[in-house]
Amino acid sequence: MSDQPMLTVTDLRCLFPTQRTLNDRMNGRHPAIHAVDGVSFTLDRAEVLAVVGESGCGKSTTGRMLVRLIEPTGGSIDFDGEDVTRLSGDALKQFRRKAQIIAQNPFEAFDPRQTVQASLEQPLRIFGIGQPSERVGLIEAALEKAGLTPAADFLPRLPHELSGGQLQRIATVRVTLLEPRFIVADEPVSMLDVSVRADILNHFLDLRDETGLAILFITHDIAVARYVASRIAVMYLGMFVETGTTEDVIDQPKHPYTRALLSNTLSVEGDRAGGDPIEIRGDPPTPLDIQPGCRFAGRCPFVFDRCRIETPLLKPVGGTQMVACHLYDGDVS
Amino acid sequence: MSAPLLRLDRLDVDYRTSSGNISAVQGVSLEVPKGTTVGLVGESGSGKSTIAAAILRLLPRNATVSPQSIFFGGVDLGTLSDKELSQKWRWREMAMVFQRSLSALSPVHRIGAQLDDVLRINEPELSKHQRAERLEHLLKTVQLPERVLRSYAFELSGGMMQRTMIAFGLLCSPPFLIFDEATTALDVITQAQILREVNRLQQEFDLTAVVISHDVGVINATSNVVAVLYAGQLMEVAPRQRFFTAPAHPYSKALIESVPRVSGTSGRLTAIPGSLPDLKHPPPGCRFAPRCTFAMPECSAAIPPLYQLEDGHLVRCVLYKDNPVEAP
Repeated sequence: MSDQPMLTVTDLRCLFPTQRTLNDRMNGRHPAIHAVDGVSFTLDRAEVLAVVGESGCGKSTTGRMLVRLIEPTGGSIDFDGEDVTRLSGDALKQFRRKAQIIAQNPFEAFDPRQTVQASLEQPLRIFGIGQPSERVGLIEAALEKAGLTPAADFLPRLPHELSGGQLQRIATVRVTLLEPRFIVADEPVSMLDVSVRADILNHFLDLRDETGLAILFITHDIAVARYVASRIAVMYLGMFVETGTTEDVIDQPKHPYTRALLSNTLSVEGDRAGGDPIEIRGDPPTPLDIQPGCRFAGRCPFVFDRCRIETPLLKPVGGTQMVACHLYDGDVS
Repeated sequence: MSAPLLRLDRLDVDYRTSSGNISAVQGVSLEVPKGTTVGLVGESGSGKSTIAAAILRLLPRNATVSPQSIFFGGVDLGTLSDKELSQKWRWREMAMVFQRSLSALSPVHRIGAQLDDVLRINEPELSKHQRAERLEHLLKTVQLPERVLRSYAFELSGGMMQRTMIAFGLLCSPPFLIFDEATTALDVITQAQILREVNRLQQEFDLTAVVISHDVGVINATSNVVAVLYAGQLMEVAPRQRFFTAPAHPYSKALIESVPRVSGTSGRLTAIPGSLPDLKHPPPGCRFAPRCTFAMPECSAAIPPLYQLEDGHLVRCVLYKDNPVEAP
């Protein structure tokens, strides 16, 4: 093995063109939604990177591009020395076995008319794993390992007979049957009850420890990220605005947006400690027709003139952190 | 403390199904004093939304509600006819802010028309002009731009939609509102915005409210009193601060423990093992016993009564049997 990280993403972009108006045509403009606008990161074996941001920030689009469910419009995804964006045919199929995705809503991730057994057999059949006679055994073993016991009870059941937590576990089993090296977990616990979340999150950590699985964990809840990720990337309107180890980002958040996310997280302490949250007004703007300057400027409580003119770039600010904010210019250590 | 605006007295709700009776709510007694907000917390399937629907009489036909169990302002709601309830009580005296706002609104009518409809039916004495004025004022109250009236539901962001749902709740200025998972599908920042809004409205209109959520964090941010529901049984009732500093029931403790936090020790979260019991055949006695780490034979012998730990702090658990019994 080389020292290269397993996954290297460089300047990944995704533009969704929107309808051109007559005005656009006359002025030669091509309006587009900048869903993901230049995202770079690396991910190693047995590592969990959390991408944290509000809905519409492009975090799911990023995840979907990594497993080639959406074609990137720019940038490269290097997985084990191969550029994933150029794969096709059999090479793409083999890649899909190595890189999998878990969806947010377990109730929509299963065919409502297929039993658990049928749903779990399908990936094995597609990739020709095991003899047909062995497959039930493989599935039962995987279910038992995921804590769904007795496994034989689950096989004939239909999705509507199971709880959200159970279904999300089965979705994880379905993915891990392929023994992937990398998975994108797209808000895997946000549809689940708080009491069940812990269970699913711990299951991901077990997988990471036992099989060296690398996980890109997408979430809007920075508190959830804290329990699963070793590194955090905070995303806002298509760009990373802060990255660093989980500890650094949570203990010393730099970007005003990260600080807002942290201070608006609900507490379960009796005294509601921690001072007043940073109040952010308004909705996140749409990534259509992006203006120059910082994308958070319109909602930022610390905004100043330069923020509206010049787009801040990710720069190191000491420790493991990188921040895209003019407040920290000249603060390089 | 003032007299309760809403009082539940040993409320039972059963659903009849072809494969047997489901005991969704069992013996819930709860008081909501005027001007307070009671937070009802529990997992999905714990009966929170069933209780809300029972209060507003929005349950499906196969549900039965125990008699003399729901009192609103001293009136037994069970004695009212459907017509009375819908003409005089629903919307005017009590309303609900629903979860999943996109499915609660019509996709083919403008928001303004939908709001106007409700208003026209419930307050027919208002003129068209008065209704328009009311809507305009209402939007200002929930801090929405006026264009929302001309918008369709799908054109609104999650936060705006939730504000719209709150506007529906406030439409006929009821003194009592139920918020059913009003912020569940929202982002952290939008959720904080809406919860601040809810708190502001409660004070401004002196609302009495029940906030329903599976997230104890939401309850902490909105409620004065916390009521914990598990599999249809009321497990603990406590003032907010007391609940979060000294929770008594093993389930309450586990529920608070399982919440991811941004401060304090990290490491692995504590999960509650197992899942909700099958309510067609609920476990005898305490319904949490099969998942409880402190369970003993006594737990399954009979349903434990509510023991009083101190004023306003009740817990249904045999671990506290040395305390006086407050209610069955």
